[in-house]
Amino acid sequence: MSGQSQMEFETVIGLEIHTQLATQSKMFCRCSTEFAAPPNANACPVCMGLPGVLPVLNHRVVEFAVRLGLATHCKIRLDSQFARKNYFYPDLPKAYQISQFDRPICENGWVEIQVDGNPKRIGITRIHMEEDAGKLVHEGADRRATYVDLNRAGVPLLEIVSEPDLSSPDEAKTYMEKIHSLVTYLEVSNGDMEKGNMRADANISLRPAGTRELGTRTETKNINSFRFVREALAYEIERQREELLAGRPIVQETRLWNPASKSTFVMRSKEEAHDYRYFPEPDLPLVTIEASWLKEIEATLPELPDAKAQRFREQLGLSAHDADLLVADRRTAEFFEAVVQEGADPKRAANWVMGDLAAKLNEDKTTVTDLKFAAGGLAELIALIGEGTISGRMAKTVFDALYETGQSPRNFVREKGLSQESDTGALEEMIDQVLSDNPHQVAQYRGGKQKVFGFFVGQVMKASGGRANPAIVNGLLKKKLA
Amino acid sequence: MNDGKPVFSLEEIEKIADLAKLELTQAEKEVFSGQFAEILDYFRTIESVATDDIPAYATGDSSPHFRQDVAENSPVSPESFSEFLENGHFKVPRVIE
Repeated sequence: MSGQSQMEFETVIGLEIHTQLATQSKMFCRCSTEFAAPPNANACPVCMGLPGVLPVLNHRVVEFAVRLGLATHCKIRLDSQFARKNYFYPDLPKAYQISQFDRPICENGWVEIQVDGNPKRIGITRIHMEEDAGKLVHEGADRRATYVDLNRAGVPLLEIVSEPDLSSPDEAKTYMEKIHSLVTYLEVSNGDMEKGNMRADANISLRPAGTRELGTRTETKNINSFRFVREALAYEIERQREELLAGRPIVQETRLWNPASKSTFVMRSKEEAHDYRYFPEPDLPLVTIEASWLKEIEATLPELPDAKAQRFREQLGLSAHDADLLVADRRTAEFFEAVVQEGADPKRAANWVMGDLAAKLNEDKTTVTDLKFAAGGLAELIALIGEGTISGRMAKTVFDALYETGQSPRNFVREKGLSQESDTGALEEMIDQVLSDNPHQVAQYRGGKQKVFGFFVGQVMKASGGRANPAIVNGLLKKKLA
Repeated sequence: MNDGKPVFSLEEIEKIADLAKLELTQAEKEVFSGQFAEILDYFRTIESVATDDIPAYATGDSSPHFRQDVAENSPVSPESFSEFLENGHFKVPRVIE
């Protein structure tokens, strides 16, 4: 067909995010949820699916679900219900997963994300509670065997299902980061991506631009990082586009993201919901939530990232961009606030926290909770720059020392004799020397070649061993060259 | 629907067997087809019971029933009931989708 190859498509994405809850024990039994225990060390008759056992719901799981539901503006169901999702696979020895189906605990909420500097609401269809499955190892000694570790079986998860409101891989990534930020603020999940605390499945379809009807969608599983969600979706959009342009229909199927090959491949044709034969879980009563409990949970919600960002903008004068970046991680935001409370200028404090500090933490794969120095240390460093004792360049050295050893910046500067040369007389001497040593450049500058100015500044800095106060040098040089 | 018993096609039996990861012989498929039809037929009898005023789900106890979030090791170890263990893992026939 003519025109087909110029056809513009728009992308429709919905995410299902699974987040592991930060409970001590599993969802329906007392087994520990600790990570990396020896195989089946944290397994009991309940999570091993032995006959005759009964599940008993962990109180905290409900509390955590309600916390996240309230934070995402959901309606909280006061009598939600568990359902059995039946499937046969050895990662779930009961042959069913206890999940929720038509009566989930949270429904109809939303979160706000920033798209090109503008707010966009992403609908939350539902949040439900369910148990995780065990881990299968196919690469054991016996090639004809699969090895089953049930430590993860029964670990509590929340599944957060979004409306198909996301329009690009970048939006999907931003949304996933937002959910991550919320669950860590609320302390319902550790949010440790390395340990698989958050995994996403992405439903994606294309439709001709401007049309309303949804195209056939595929589901991509196994997305366990913010980078992968963008890469996997970008790949899948391109794949579907090529299919549609070639006149081939999209097959509704489940695909798996392979981070190594940066591509998706077919996992299995999508089982229809009724293939799971959901039915109400007869071993568990309705999950009833007393109004008083709901109020109590609501009253103990922490300040959430949106509110914090607003406060940073309005009270501390930060830009929207800086405020959003700072609040993404609760610990980082709290550290920043502590630095400001120690008297640092908010804008400078934000620059240090998001710049040099973030870079170091990223390099060392650690977080602000493991720092060798307190907020006061960074505030002191910022004060030293503000009062002109050290230059911006010296500050880097001082910061490195602070970061590595935790040594007080003021002591470090005194010990190393790092303070900036601001004495006009001493600087004038150096400048006079530089000018008399370089008559050729002086002539060039006076002849109109302004660029040479930087050369003089550099020479003076060199003569001072990097200690000259650049602002004063600039002023003096201008005067002498005039 | 027809007036007689519900009909179960061989394709439906095969799909159910597939979901249950079972391999059935032709003869078994035919036997199950008849038995499934009988089971479904019985639902007509159940449907004739007036249930409009009865909630679809009730345990008889609507009070919250929770346990506190405290971890504790189980006294029952996998070794105590299974001989199909290797380096702590349960060993099952290989499954790969």
